Amino acid sequence: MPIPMPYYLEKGPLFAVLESYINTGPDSRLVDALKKFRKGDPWESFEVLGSGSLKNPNQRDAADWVKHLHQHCFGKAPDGKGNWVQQPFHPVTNPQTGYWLGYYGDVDSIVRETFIRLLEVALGVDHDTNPNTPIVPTRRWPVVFLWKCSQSWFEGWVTWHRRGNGPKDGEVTVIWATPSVEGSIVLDSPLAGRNLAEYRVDPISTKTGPPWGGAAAVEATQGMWVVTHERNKPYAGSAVTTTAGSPKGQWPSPMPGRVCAEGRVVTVAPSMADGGVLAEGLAFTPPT
Amino acid sequence: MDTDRAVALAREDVDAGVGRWLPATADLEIDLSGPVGDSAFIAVRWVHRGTNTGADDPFLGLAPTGDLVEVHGVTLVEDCGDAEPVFHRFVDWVGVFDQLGMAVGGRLTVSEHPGQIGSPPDA
Repeated sequence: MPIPMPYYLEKGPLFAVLESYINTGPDSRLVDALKKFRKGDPWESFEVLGSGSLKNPNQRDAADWVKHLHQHCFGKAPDGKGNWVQQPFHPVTNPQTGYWLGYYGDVDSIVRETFIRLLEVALGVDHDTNPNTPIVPTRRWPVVFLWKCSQSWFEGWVTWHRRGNGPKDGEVTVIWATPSVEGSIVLDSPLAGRNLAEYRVDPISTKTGPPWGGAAAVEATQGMWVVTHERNKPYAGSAVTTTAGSPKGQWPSPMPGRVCAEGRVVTVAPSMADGGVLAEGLAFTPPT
Repeated sequence: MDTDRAVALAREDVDAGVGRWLPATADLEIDLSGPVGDSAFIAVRWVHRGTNTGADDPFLGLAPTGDLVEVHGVTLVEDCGDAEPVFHRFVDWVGVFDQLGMAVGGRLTVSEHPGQIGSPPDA
């Protein structure tokens, strides 16, 4: 099971590398990917999952990433014939897709359709369900990915903004809005993240510098800051117990998940391990 | 306090506490075989069924759904002698939230990350 990311909004290494893959290289890279998605090609055929940048002790290679996607994200299992299959919904024996808490749905199809739509917008081509339709890009807009979790069902959001009439004058922002995953946590303080080198509290500019590494401060290519209270404390259970005695008709409120914020408002740049970004991103490197 | 008195008080308490946002569509169902206890505490098992209206006094500030909702609970009625009785209510609030369609995020709030410093990044 992956180590949970502890904030409500994340990017992290997978989407950082995916951004690098989509936003660099020739147009044919995106055209080929769109063709594959339109044809319904298996996830194994997408080279980005084999990137050297994604190799770490938990997901070593493309096969591990594909297995992770199928098992945890899409709720599928091998059928013994070389296929990954999702079992039908059952409220007791199969109530949930993969590791998405309390949610059953066809996540594979949602993800694929989201990729089709975002690639079509980025390339400036009309939507087409025919996999044989030629793809002729009219532009190349960069794509940004964010992952927001803790909602009740799975959604892929594709938003875009034209900035001019040139082929690069615009951008696409994709938000994966999902349920929580099994083992999910959220830190009650943004200051409690894993203290890697790129982490810092109260950044004063968008320039990099100690402790981000490098002697000379330079403008960061990417940034992702969170602004919130130092601590967001759930009420202690004993303070809101609904079983405490009270006079007739005066019922304690049963509202769950109440939070009382404490301390000053801070600005924090989470580490990549916690879902943040590196100042220079995380570049796609080809599979080896 | 005798059990008949406890049942009557529990009925009034449920009407006052739940009936505001869930006007009863049927009489409050009291498990008459259930009242148990001594003279100081009597347990009354009840079921309240109503339609989630109550726009003037909404439950937890939520917009009324108009749906039929069933609330299960047990009330311990505490006899306080000359003082007014005190009510201890054990209600299946999870069942209520479920019937109203309230979503639960499913994340635990923690003060420290369980991963080690320098843990490998993940997705």
